[in-house]
Formats: sequence, C-alpha cells, structure tokens
Amino acid sequence: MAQNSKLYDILETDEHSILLKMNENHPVYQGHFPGNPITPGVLTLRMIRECVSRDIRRPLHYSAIKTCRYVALIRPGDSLRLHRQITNNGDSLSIKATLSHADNPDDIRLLLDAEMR
Amino acid sequence: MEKEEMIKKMVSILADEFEVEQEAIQPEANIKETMHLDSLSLVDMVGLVNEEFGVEIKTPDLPSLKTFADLYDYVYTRL
Amino acid sequence: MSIPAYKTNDITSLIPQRPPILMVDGFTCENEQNCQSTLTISSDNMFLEESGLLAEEGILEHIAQTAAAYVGHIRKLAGEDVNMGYIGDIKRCTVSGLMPAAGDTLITHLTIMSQVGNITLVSAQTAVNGQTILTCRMKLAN
Repeated sequence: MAQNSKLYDILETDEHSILLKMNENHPVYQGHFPGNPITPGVLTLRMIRECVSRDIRRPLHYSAIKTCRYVALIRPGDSLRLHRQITNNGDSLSIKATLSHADNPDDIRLLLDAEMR
Repeated sequence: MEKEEMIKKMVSILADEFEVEQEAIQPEANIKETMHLDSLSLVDMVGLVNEEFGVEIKTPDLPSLKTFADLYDYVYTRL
Repeated sequence: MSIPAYKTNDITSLIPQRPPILMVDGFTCENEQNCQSTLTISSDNMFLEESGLLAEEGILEHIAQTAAAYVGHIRKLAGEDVNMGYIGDIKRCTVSGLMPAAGDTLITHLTIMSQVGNITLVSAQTAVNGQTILTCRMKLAN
C-alpha cells in the first residue's frame, strides 16, 4: 500500500479479542468523504482479514463472504473490539467475527461470516 | 401457475433465505416477526420475490403486506 | 420507471468518493435495471498488496461505487443532489481466480434487484480479461 500511515493500531491482543484504534490521520479519509470522514466498510473487512492473518501467521484472502452486515458506522478515532472465531476446515478457514465499540459490546458495528484461504 | 403451487414455492424460498422452518410460515403469521426482518432484510425479500416471480413489490405497498396471506394475494394477482 | 441509456467518464459527478479511494473510471447505465462500470488499476492504487495484486476488498469497493454511481445517476435524473452512501451488507460473495494487477481493467456488471426506500439491493459480477473473479449481492444505503 502506497500510504505511509496505518489505518489502525492494535492496542491489545488476547485469545478472546483484539483491541483496535482507528487512526485519524489515514489519507483515505480525505476521499471518504471530503469533510465527513467515515471508515470505508471494505477497509473494515481488510482489517479483520489482516488480524486473522496475524493469528494464523500467514497471509489470507477471502474466498467467500456468506454475510457481512454493517450495523453502524465507524469513524476515525473510534476504539473497537474484534471478537473472532476461527475454524480450520482443512483447505479453508471459517471466520465468524463481531466488531463492536471497545467499551460497549452492545454497540455492534459489524457482523461477519466468511471463509478465508 | 396455480396459487397453491405459488405458495409452496414462496414458503420454500423464504424459509431457505431467512433460515426459518417452513412450518413457521403460516398464512396468518406476521411476515416481519416470523422471519425477523429489519429494514435491510426487507429489501432482500422484495429482491427475492422479484427474482423468483418477476413481481416488483412497490415501496408504498409494503406496509399493507402484514401477513403471508397478504403477500400471497399481492404476488398472485400480479403474476 | 424507464430511463435512457447513459455513459460517462466523469464519475465524480455521480459519487462523492474522491482520491485516494476513487475506484470507478467509467460508468454506463443501460436501463433502470442494468449498469456496467470499469476501473483500470493504477500503480498507486491503495488496494494493491505487497504481492502486486489487488486485494479483494478493492473489488468490493469498486462494486459499491458502481452501485453508488447508479443511485447518483437516478437521483440526478430526478433533480436531486448526489448523496453519501454506505454499504448495508454483502452476501453470497465468492472470490476465485487470479486477482488483477496494476494495468489490468476491472469490468463490473450490476443488476438492480430491488429498491426499498433509501436501500438498493444489487447483484454484481466483476471480471478481468473475460474471467469472473468476484460475484456478490450488496446493499447500499443512501
């Protein structure tokens, strides 16, 4: 990726969840949208893929997305908690993930049911 | 298509799409409650009916479609 | 509703997204139910990975912006301003084949399946060099 700043920082990782903070200075916010910065939904998907790739220690890609539901918007500066459940099926991994506000598990931002390879 | 045949097909595709038991889809049951529809999944139902039956449910008509019987009548008269 | 065929390369007149995340460079609306878009991937595209290949999320953004261009086009025909749209959900998405690299052109065919209020459901198919690489259903909320 050409940009020099990261979209997010990982603050904490444990077996249950990952704590993340969206970087306010990422250049994507200049274009999404001018004057009204909102994290593009597809970059949230990439963030989850990168987190799972870190868990598994190899680069993964989505082979299928059964459902990805954007429940609420994510803005620069938001602190988020990612819960992920990874099942190894041999030739692919099943991923169930929930992204919510860092301090409020009821404030769900995204629900994902997907497969990666 | 006979109405019975249409209803059978409708129950089958709705149960499949919204992951509910076919038995739960009774004519007098409430559509939104039975299939746990919200504003997003309601659009899925409209898209599915259009795709499978070629019937376009108009947005202003949606509030009048409360039960499955309402939906069957609406679609059948427009086939 | 019946609308005339329409073609433009002036994408910023139809959607509010701007660089570095502008992911459509050509848009054709055939009729009220079908449209098509293109993107030739530049070497500085933000979705290019270390492997030199485009990430699948870049294709999903291209599809979302194609749906947004359709909505923007319809809004302009109705005399309304282009507004911001968000992805509501993505379903039945499958990714297969080799991802494109800089210089390749994405071609996306969109079928509008339904519109209820401010939510548009589309079915999308994206191909590169005649090979389908991604299909999905997507909802856009405007």
